[in-house]
Amino acid sequence: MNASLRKIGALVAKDATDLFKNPAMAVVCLMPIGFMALYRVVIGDATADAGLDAAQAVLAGREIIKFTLGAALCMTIGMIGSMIMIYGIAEEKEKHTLRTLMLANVSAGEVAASKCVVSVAAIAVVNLACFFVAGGNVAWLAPYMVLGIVGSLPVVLVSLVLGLACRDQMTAGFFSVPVVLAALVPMFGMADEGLARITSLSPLGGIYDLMGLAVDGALMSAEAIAPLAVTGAWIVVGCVLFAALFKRVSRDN
Amino acid sequence: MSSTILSMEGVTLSFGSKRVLDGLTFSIPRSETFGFLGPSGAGKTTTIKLLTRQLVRDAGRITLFGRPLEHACDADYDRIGILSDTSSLYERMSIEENLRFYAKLRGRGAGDVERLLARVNLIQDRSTLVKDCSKGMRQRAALLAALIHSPELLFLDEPTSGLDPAARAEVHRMLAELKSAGTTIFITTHDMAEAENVCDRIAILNEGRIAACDRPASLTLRFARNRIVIETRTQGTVETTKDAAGADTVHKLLAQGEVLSIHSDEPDLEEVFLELTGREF
Repeated sequence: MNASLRKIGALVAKDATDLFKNPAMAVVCLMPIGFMALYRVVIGDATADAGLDAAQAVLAGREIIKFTLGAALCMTIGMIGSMIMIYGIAEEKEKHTLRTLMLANVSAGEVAASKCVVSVAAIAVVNLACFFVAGGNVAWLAPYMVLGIVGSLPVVLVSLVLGLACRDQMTAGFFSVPVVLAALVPMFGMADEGLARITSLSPLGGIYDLMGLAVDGALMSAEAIAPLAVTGAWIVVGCVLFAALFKRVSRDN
Repeated sequence: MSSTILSMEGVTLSFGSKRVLDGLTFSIPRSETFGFLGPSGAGKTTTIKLLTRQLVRDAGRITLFGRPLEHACDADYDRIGILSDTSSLYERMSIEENLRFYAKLRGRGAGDVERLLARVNLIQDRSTLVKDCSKGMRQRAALLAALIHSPELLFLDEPTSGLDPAARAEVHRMLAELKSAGTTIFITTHDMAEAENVCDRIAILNEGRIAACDRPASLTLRFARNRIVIETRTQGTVETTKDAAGADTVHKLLAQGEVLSIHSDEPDLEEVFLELTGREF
């Protein structure tokens, strides 16, 4: 147990350092923050020019912050989860460093644990930055951070399995696109109410809706049951996929 | 404690219908440097993969540190160092950062990194990123990463492949040091000269079978030709046989003061391999 924790500690330090040394990963971590800054400027300007009265402006402002914070969660989880897990593992496989690790008596589980820890930590840090860039109210920070971590679980677990299934970075590109798209789906729900009912069922649809409820101060209401159930269901799906496929794909070929 | 560190008995492995290893049997005592020779595709790397849990045999028995391989635990594998044909370090990290990382994984301290860096003259290049290193530097650094925990048993899969003569000599010097420190080494190579210089015993592998297994000198003697070549002053080159008649010829020429030099026509390992397998490297 001690040896395993020591190995995971060494791997976490290495993977975390690599976030800063790998330009592709560093850019992906900065992208959601950049988008939030862009949204704030563009959407803020658009509402200012829309000629709304005070009450309408408050309502519009609330809808905008619900969208931007929900979008921040989806982008951060989708982009960072897939990048660190899928590309990170695929790069290790392509450059044979994963095999070298395995030959140094490091198990697939230890590698997976390290990647998950670094991935969730990076998601939390970027989420935090996005929150302040988007202009979130500090009262919403706690639920926002919790939703970010809970919502990242299914994406990280599925990305981990996909990363292990990749042979190289080319296949990582192929596998990561659907993950990112699935993560971004809830953002398109704002276009139409009917569409929103469908996007609410997507992997991050539950936390997107829960974030909206948190902004409305209705997180503890009966309205939260459905999105909570969706989030729980996707976590179960992620865990089942991980349990079913991890052993099969963890043997580095 | 058993003196046999590693053994294989009747081990077979097939990939589909192709038999890759066919009844491999050998054992390696403690502190021996055992060479596994053979051309590409002979089964050298496959054997290392079997011994290091990367593949599972179809039949036969393998023991590691005196225990059946299937009972080997993580603690046993902590006593092993492996440099595979694809071993590589993290390119965005320096040599020293890589070694510190592997030291941490293995529960070793920074002192071990310093000691190893000094051993292979990489102190000056410790801060060089691996992506900027030459192949020789990368290979030496990867070897250090495999050695960071002072393993009792070291698997080296063609450790000098693609290295220049100076880097090869450096690796050979390291192997000699490890051997004198009591490390058991299992090395695969297709370089006969390397095998002759480095190994205590060698096994020649051909098409998944061990064609011969002995000390290099014994193998060359075993396949020595029945021929002695004598350079003389006036009679040119005289050839004779290694028997009583040949001894008489040598004696007569010596008595006449004719002999300039006498050569026993023994094959090198490459010729032994050709003799055994009919294949060229």
